[in-house]
Amino acid sequence: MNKMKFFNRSVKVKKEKPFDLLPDEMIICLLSFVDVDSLLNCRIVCKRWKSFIDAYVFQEKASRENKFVNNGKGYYSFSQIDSNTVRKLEFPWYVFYAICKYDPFHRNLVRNHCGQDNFKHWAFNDMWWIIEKNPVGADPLPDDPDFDGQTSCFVSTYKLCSKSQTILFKNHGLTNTIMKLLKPDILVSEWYSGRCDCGCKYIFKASVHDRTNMVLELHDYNNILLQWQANKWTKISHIFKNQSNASSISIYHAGVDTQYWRGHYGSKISGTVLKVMLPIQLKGLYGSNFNNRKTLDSKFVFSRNVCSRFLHSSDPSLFTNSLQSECIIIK
Amino acid sequence: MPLIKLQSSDGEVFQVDFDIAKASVTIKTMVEDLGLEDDDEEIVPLPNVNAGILKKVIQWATYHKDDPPPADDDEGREKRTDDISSWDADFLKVDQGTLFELILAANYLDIKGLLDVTCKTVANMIKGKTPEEIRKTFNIKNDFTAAEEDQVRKENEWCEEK
Repeated sequence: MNKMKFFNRSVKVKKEKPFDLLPDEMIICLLSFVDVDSLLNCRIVCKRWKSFIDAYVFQEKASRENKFVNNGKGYYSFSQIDSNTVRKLEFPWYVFYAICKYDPFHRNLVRNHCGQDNFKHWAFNDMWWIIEKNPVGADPLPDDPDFDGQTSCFVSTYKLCSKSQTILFKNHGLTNTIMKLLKPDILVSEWYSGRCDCGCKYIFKASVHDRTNMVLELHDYNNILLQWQANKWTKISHIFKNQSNASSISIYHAGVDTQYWRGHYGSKISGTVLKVMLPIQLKGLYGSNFNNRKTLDSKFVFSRNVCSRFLHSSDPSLFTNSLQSECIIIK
Repeated sequence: MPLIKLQSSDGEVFQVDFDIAKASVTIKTMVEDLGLEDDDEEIVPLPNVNAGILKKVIQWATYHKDDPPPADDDEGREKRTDDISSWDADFLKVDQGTLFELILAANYLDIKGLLDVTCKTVANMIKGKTPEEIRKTFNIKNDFTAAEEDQVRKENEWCEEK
């Protein structure tokens, strides 16, 4: 009789409210399959959904889908069997929303950075530049991830050649709110060279602007490469720090040969990189408020099968090691 | 091939090929831990799955018995929700209650493939819908006040700076 009663009730519940069948962690798991744009709508559905989405779903989704943040293995996922190794990043939901939707961190935001797409995406003051599929009269591009497998470069001539590219952070989901909150390090770098037989001049400028386009910080660099010694590729780089009002960065570079030779004997430029670094804080692992977290996180420990997809190794030290090698840990 | 017996929560016993049943990591572990032999008369109890759902699960596992095991490096696998095979899509044309019970069963039985495809199916039911349509689809009560709802909408807009 009792059994009958229970049976009837469960049938009634499932007919009326299917989500009431699922425990919290299953709802979180399920919602993390929903696309980011629809998840914004899900935040408006009811309070329970909103609280799950804000606290866990965006993070869970970012953790599963973002290559850098977790190397595809859910490093900072809360869904670990052992709450002692729970790694939860202390960021609000909209940071994970930006990661899911725009993947803005630790990725080169400069377009056509080696001239692989001809002259696209750059603003030119003049059209003296040419592109060499492979550097002529100089070493090939070094084997470096900055080039992303490209072999080409921009080459200047006997008249000063210049070009620039502006990266608007909001186009990559990095809103003013996120920039203010994270104050991320912004890394700019570039490679330059010349020909073995001709000297050249190289100029690089990177400027951080606020939303009114006022310059907040300028980094500039220039160098003259001497004839007969110019064929080696050199990398320059700079990190902008604490730029909480940064709204855009303009990268400008220019080159010219010093011999005034006809043809393209001036400086060669390639591998321009701009990366915004996610300041990772691993409070669950090392932070002082670990004990407070533990209670909350253990409530949401995933059932075994969901966890297993994140646990590719049973040795926790492997996780820690790979974490330390891949993340910048800020206290 | 060895057969094993699975008993549903409501007492029905299903005889299943072990090669099919081992799609469930839970059953596989149980059988290995218990050391069940080929012609053993022992029955594996599944107190969290009723006969109707267990039947569906066995049907799914039978169809997928020759699928390659999920790769270790399956990055991006979960990103897509439009990769549901037509057989799975047909298989999951069931009422919402059954679909959600399949999710629970897939989770309990630890069948990754079935859990993924059922979750994706529900995710697809949410995709592109307005909050009101989502509430209607799953019969969820809106417990926000008008002012609270307005606030959440504003937060959403702040995500996308124009």
